[in-house]
Amino acid sequence: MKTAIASIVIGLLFAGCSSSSAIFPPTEESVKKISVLKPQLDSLDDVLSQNTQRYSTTSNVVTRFRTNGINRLLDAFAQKRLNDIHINFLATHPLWKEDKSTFGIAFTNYVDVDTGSIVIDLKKFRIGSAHNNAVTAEIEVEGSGRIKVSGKYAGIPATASPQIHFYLNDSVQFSISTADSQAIVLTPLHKPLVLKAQISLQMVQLQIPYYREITLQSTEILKPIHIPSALTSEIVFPIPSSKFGRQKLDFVRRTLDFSRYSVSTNSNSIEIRSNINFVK
Amino acid sequence: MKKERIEHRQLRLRPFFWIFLLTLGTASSGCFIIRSAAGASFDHEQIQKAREAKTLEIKLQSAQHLQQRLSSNIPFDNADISFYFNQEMLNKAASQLDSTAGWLDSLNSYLIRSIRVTLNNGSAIATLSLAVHNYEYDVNVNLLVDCLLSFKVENNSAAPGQGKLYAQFEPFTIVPNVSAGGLLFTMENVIGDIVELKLSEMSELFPPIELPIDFSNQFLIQRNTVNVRTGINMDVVIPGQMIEYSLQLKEVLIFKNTMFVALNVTKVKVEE
Repeated sequence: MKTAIASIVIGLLFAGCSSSSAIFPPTEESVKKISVLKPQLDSLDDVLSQNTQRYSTTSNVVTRFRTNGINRLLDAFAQKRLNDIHINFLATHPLWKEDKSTFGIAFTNYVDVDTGSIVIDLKKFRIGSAHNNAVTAEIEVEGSGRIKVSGKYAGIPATASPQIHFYLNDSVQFSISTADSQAIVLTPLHKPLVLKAQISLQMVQLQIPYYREITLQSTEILKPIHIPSALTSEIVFPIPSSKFGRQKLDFVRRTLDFSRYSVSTNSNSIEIRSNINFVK
Repeated sequence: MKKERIEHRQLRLRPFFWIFLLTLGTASSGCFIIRSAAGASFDHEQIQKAREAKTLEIKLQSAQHLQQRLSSNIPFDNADISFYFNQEMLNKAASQLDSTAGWLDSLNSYLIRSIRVTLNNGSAIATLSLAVHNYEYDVNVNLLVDCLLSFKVENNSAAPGQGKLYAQFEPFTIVPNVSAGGLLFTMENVIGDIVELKLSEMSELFPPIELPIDFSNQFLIQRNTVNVRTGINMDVVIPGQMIEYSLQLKEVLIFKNTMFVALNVTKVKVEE
């Protein structure tokens, strides 16, 4: 009898207290909510998954560069300066010559380049479409300046400062690779590039329209370009502070170890895939 | 002889016990003493269903937002640089917080036992398994804290462009991590405090997860010299130039198993 009374009293006491029932909604309420929400979510999830499945990846991280984005960087490079390429002229003996004879007297007209230094402008450096792990870049270079020449005409020595004009408009293919997943490496493929040089020379009685196509090898003039993947190689991770106080965070350093990286292209983008491990 | 003494003492104590019990009954508005003294249980099913319902609610809201975004006419995959982080990668980053200890307040310390991040369509949900120690009652409580991950860039005002992308924990449910059975009321009291008082403040208590994106980048156009000795003798010199650029966060979208981060190139500078 006494035990029964005790049970009733304790029961009444607990009935007045809030246990999980006060903190969390009643089970029936939650079950009802689940029965309404779950079918809605499942249905929406199916639709969304169909639309976004192509972005799913087994690699830890895929970095995708649109060629437009790379071109924004290269445009800035091309547009920023007017003296992108320096050309220093060395003595050229002769640049031009002709053997003549007048009244049985033989002589040589010639023009030497003595010295000179000009700068020419990179007007365009843009990547076109990307295919098969390679991109094609359009390159346009143009510039003018004066050089110092000397020579003889009919035995009369003379000097002049004619204008020289350079122009190059060609395309270069770059292979795409990644050395360590930290950068896209654009390496020029071997191709002759034609630099057109024109001098309008007027010296004494001599008028020489000098034109020459100078062949440069793309691999000589262009070095590989490393465009960073924009992933950090190190993170100073915030962690909770183990001591209570105003300072809530401590920091630990982690190095990122990239592995299983690969690079691929499609029409307008370059992708690097890699796995990442955080190393203490 | 000993048994008789115990029974005698029990008989003498019984009236006092009943008086104490009844007094307690009338005065137990806060239930604190009873909770501390007695043992009882949480309703395991109630907790699980409440947690499931809340999680579904969050997931559905987020999925609806994602659907609205994808149905808009603004393309999302045309950024200059896009990152696709998979769920495994986020879990690797989150696991850096495993076994770290912090404080919920001056009375409650916590140890992060594990963090599990799940990427759903529209939402990234992290479940923190915490071992909380309450110094007032000297009890340990295991909690599961479900958090929505929100993503934000924290800019360094001293170094513009050197921002960091963080995933910030925004707790939305906290439940005791118990199998069917129960907890002491003392623990319930602690849990009650944490659940009711701390939920809104908790987002500032857990350290954010930093994602490995470098917002400030540069690359070198290498200096090069080509010696031309045909036609005109000349040295063609391409001076070394550094292209520096910053990235600006355009958008973060969460798909199933994938976190998509879109960034645009900004502030390009060319230095010799």
